[in-house]
Amino acid sequence: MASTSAAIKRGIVRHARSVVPLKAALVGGIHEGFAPAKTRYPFMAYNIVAAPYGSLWGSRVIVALVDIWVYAGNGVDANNVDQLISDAFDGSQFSVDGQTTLICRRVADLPGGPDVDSEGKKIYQIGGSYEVWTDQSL
Amino acid sequence: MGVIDARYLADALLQSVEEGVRLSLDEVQNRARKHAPVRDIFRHPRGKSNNTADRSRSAMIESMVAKWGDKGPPSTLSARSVNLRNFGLNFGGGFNTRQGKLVASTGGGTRYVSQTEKIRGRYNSNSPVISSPAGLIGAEEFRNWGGANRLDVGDIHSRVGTFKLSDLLSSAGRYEAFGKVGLNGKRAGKGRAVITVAGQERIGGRLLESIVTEGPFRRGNEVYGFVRAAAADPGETHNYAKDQEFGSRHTRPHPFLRPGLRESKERIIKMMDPAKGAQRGIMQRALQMGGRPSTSANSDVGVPVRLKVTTQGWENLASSFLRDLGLGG
Repeated sequence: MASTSAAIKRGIVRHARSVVPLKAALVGGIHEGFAPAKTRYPFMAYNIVAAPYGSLWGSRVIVALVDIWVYAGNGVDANNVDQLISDAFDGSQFSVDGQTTLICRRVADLPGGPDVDSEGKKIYQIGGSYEVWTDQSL
Repeated sequence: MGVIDARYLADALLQSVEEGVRLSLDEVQNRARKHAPVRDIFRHPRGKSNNTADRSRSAMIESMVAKWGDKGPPSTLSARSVNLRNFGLNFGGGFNTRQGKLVASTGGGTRYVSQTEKIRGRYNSNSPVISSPAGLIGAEEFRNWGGANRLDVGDIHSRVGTFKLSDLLSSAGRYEAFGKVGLNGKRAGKGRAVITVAGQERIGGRLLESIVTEGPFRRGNEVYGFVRAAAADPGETHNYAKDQEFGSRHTRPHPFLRPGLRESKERIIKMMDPAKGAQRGIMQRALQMGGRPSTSANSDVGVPVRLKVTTQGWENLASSFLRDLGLGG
């Protein structure tokens, strides 16, 4: 049975957790979309932007564009953790259930300005877009 | 041997590329509009609708709208327009009505409408229906609306035979449509979601209306353009479009520009191919005739085409995606 881009999301989270320095740096954990109020900083949030399918004879390629953001209490932390994420994902071939990861590469920086959270605290949102190519036999 | 003006040829080629870019921008804009998130302001007690699904075609509603023709919806329903498609088309009633029972009350009393009056509830259902020249239209039909992008429903005044728009809205929807509740316990009048488009007042659609194309522009031998979204609430400068595209601390992302671009990739390439082909053909012909095309406009890979997709202030970000698409950047 063919798997969907949900397996790619699971793979991203599993890979982020498996990288010890990154996991240690993400005090607030890993969240899909956005994190609840009062989540500690820094934390990571990811979101699939688009995941079009390409069908070949007997196989399917998914090209998923994923935004991965870091939210941190200061800009230095945000950039440092973003670098850890980039180190972990750019050029890596992390495992995706039911699919073969062809490549994961960072295709863009996502510079974000400072914002204010619900508690009035100044926060920094910095991230990158990653393209994940996977292949699976049908 | 003929004489050929290479600059003239190069300019003609650029014009063809401009047309390709113009079509590409329109394509991305249309797809971005389909992906643009909408605020759900209606009550829907029987489950939320999915925007994408709701925008799929419905032949039944199409035919009903077609019967209205150029005359538009009936005037009795035109006091306050609601762009249904912008809200996922789901305005299932949150109040009990059924055939013969009141939908709009005056003075707090319960009144019953007759068979000949305009608005009736569906029997044994919570869904109000609207009477139109095409027949009765109910919430179920609206769920698959794919027709004209507007349908006037409701008169906010209490009048037998018409909806009270406020009754159809959720509490968040009443805030969006009518504003904050003041000290006197009444809402201000117009909420932040009320916009005026082409002289007509609508509730919602600010983000959709803000998705525009700019260009194509020329810079040297490059042709480029933008698809831009920059919605902001009245009196505020904060870019709501950016929050929707990329998310924020308080909002999960609902990307619409970049998916629009990605979905358009195949069509863009197809649209640009003829331009490349024409360029090769014309340049080859020019060379055969002894012309000397300028090097700036001649290239084996075609005239560079830049198609930028951007939200306000994020131009650099979006151009990188174009490189992924092989469209320059």
